[in-house]
Amino acid sequence: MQRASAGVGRGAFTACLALAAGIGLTFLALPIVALFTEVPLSRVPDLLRDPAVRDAIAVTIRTNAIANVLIVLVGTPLAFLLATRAFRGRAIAITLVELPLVMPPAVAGIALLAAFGAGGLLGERLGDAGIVLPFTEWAVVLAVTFVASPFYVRQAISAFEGVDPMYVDAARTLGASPARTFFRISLPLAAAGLLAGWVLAFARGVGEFGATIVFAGNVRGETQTLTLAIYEQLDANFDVALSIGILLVVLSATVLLSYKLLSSWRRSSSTSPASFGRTSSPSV
Amino acid sequence: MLRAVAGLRTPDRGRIALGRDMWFDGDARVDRPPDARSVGLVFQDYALFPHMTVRANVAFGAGGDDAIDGLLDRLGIAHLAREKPGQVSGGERQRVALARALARDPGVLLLDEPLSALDAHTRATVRAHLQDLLAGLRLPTLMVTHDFRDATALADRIGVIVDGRLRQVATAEELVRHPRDAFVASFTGANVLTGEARPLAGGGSEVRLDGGAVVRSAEAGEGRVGIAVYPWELAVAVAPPEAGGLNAIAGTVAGFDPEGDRVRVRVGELVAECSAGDVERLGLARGGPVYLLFAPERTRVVAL
Repeated sequence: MQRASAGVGRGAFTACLALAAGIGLTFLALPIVALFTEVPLSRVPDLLRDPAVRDAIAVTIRTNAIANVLIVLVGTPLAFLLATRAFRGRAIAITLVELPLVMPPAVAGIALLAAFGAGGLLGERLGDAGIVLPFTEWAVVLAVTFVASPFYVRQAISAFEGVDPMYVDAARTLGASPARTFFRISLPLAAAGLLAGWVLAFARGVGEFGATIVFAGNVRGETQTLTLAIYEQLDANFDVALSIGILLVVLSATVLLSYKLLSSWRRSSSTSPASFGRTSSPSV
Repeated sequence: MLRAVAGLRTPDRGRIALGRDMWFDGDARVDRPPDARSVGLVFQDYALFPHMTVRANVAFGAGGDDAIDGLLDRLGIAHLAREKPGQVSGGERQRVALARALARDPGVLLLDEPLSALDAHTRATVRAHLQDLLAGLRLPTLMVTHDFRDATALADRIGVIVDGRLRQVATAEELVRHPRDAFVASFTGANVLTGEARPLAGGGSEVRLDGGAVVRSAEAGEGRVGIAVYPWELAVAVAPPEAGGLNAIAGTVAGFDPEGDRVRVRVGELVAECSAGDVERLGLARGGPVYLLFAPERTRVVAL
């Protein structure tokens, strides 16, 4: 009797889990399925040739390319510094780096406006110098950089922290300057981690909406990125909006897949610094 | 210590120099960075760059490309040039690390426990190889080890450091003949017993051991001391000594540790070494009573 009731209880529990999983997965899959079925797929290429869409693609590529270059060029040395040096205020600096991650995008937008807008913290001085940022393509670049950078920098910090300092010491005693050690040792050993971080930052940047619409507006051909174009096409042409959606979902899936491939390659690779560093016992 | 010499750690004070070349001087605030010191450091875990081939590892610190192939040849690792460090064995990895350290033609070679990462079987082979290599190099070499055998096999002079303090610097032979204190004696393989010493009128001293026995030494001593005697200086006997100058300690055999035709016999806290033939001739067995005999001239009095 007891055994039977335990069996029934176990069966019921598994059924509950399955039910919850079924509801959850259906809820996640339904919108994606709808995206691909609500508009005939054969019409998607034509719909994407809409001038508004082509403008949005161009703006998205231009702004994200610049933003990603900025993130990598400034973020890499920043992450290296935070990962390898102990100094006062390091914890504060790391918190600052992570802050955009939890900041609502609309707040990021209004904050950027407060900093760089006319009458803002720096806006007036920039204005005197003839530089106007809000509601320009550069505003999109700044918004994307602001919200996407933590994805790269955080991952880059842990990638550099994962490089065994022993290799750095070895390079230094072999006559390499700190700069040469960085480029020949730290950077290659952290490369897979940096790439994974960049993939995440790229995905976040392409999907950026909130900060951009507040700080840069939604001007076609200038600040209207693909996500903003969806917002505008909702009223104008729903099928075009859906087509852009399909384009971005394909892009996101590609990014997610490459991220997963990258991380599994990092784990399994024999050249990964973490796994090699522990191999102190020799095999003859 | 090696990290301080290489410039990877800053000492609190003192001076480090190679010949007339001052690398560190705490008073004069001289502290050259590692890349401006002419060292070849072989790390305990070798620290070979995992993303580079063996050849690229060796070439990393080298001035030119020409000498590298010769160096790989000399260390017997030329056939591994294209391999990644993860793919070669422990002994080979050590040679790669040596080649890499030598490639920049350093003024001093630093070896950090070069044999500790190897298993017992590889260790003897690599030790012999290292012995040949060091003999041919004519390069000042500093090696850190916890193994006295490694030290005697590879070093001309040995410094014994305990808790950061240098206790004694001497040749291996001198360390064994005149260990300065109980630690050095025990590190070099001696039996060390403690007791109370009093000087004898005719020179030398008499030591009442904590175990109760009284032994004589040709060396002077007074108060709390240690006496040191090496296993090969202890003779094993089954009968008590006849009156004579020899020290004797009675005990029972606790165990045997044979190596080749020599056997180390454990008696209480002491270890005596004799031949396998002696063990047979004397009919030694575990638990049997024995006497350990040793001459006062071989009984060193050491500070505790």
